[in-house]
Amino acid sequence: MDPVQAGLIGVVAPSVAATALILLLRRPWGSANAAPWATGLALAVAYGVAFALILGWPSLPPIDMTHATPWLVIPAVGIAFLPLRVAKGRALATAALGLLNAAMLLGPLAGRSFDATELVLHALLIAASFAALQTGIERATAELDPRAGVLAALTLVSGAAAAILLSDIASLAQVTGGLAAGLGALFALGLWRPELARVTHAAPVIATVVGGTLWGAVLYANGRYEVAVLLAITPLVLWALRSTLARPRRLLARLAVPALIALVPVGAAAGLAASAYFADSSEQVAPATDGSAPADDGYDPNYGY
Amino acid sequence: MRTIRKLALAALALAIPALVSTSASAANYSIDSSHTSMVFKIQHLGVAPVYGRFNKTSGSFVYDAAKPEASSLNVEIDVNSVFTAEKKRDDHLKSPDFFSAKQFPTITIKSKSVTAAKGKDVLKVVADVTIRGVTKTLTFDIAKTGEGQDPWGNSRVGFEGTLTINRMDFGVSFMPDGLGKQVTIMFAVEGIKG
Repeated sequence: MDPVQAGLIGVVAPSVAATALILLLRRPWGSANAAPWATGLALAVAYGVAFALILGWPSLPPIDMTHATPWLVIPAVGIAFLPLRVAKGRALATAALGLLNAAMLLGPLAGRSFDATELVLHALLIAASFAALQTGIERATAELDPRAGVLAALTLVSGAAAAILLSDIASLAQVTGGLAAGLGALFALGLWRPELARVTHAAPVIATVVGGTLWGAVLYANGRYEVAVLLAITPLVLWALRSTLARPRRLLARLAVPALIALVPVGAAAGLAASAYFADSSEQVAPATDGSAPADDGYDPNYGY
Repeated sequence: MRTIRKLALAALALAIPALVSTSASAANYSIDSSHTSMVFKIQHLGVAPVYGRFNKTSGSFVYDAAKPEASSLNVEIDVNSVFTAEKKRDDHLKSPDFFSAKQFPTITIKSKSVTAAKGKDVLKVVADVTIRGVTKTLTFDIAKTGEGQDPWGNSRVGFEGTLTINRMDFGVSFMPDGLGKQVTIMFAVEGIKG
């Protein structure tokens, strides 16, 4: 795929889809405050468009684990529709979605890669990541300038895409880039009407895509646990610093500082992923076996001639 | 004298079917991974084919020279044994971009029917090929390459063949333009009787 075509299907198409939906549903020429839930739908559609154009229509039932996330985004949009005042309901629904995602991610590995204890621990870790992402994004962006919030979310999603790419899953990194393109479109709209850029309602959608894809990279490719955890807690860092981050009076500082703060854990995660990727490439390929079983490299230690 | 002749004829009549069934009976073979090659080639950027192989193949087959339709084939290829002489590429091939080896650790080939094909010792195999959880029925020819005994007295028989698949049919769809959609799998299998 040439770079122009890759840009068209991975960036332009998701951005146009998100922009069109926001304009259609929020009708910002009147008041930009209408239908805030539309942001979740717009980002889900941006992700879905990128997925369909890059990987094709996801299979149902999603036997292939890479096809699970697009379907899980649908209930995430449902949660995004819930008003923010029902915070407990949103949190519980997201926790349930996190567990469902964990079940879909871990199901194929049950009895093969993990025993029961490891499965439970992984399920808890994945669900906790979902909760951290959803709660952090929702609460941090509620108190930030909407454009600052979307820029910080864009930093997180771009970092996640880079980490996934460095985990040897370029296709899912591209698809995650579709979500980043949707966030970019929201930022552009926010320059016109700031409230259009608010991603608070869309937190479940972002959490589902980022959490599901990152843990997919850890469990099914060469992703690292610490990278997934660092990215999952990034929104919590923003939330913890929200009062400081909302303080600057100059617009540029107000927009840039949250993204720069997010860049600290995101940069650390990307650095870890990069060091693992390049360390792997320098490893020697050498036969290694205890002599009792065929080696992983395919050499048979019992070979006669 | 007449009684002896009758007994001899009866014995011969009993012996002939037994002899026939021994020579024509189907024999079971287990695949000898050390002497089995599973090589594939795929076009890179439309420039040149790149070759790779799977280092571990297991399974069994039934071979009946006299009655090919009694033959069958059941092969398992270990996806994690993919080898292209480039570790980063092998890691990438195992990832969900290609084979998704952690979720789908084996490629299987299970015959549905085997019939005689044109040519000496050539068989036409119709088989269910499963890659990345997707099963497609494909038809390919295999030819017997030889048979004999190894130094330990085991009977061996060998086959080779070529199978072409469209990787997109199996959901192995990454880089549809950079890498060829058609993948040719060339294999040579040695089986040990018993």
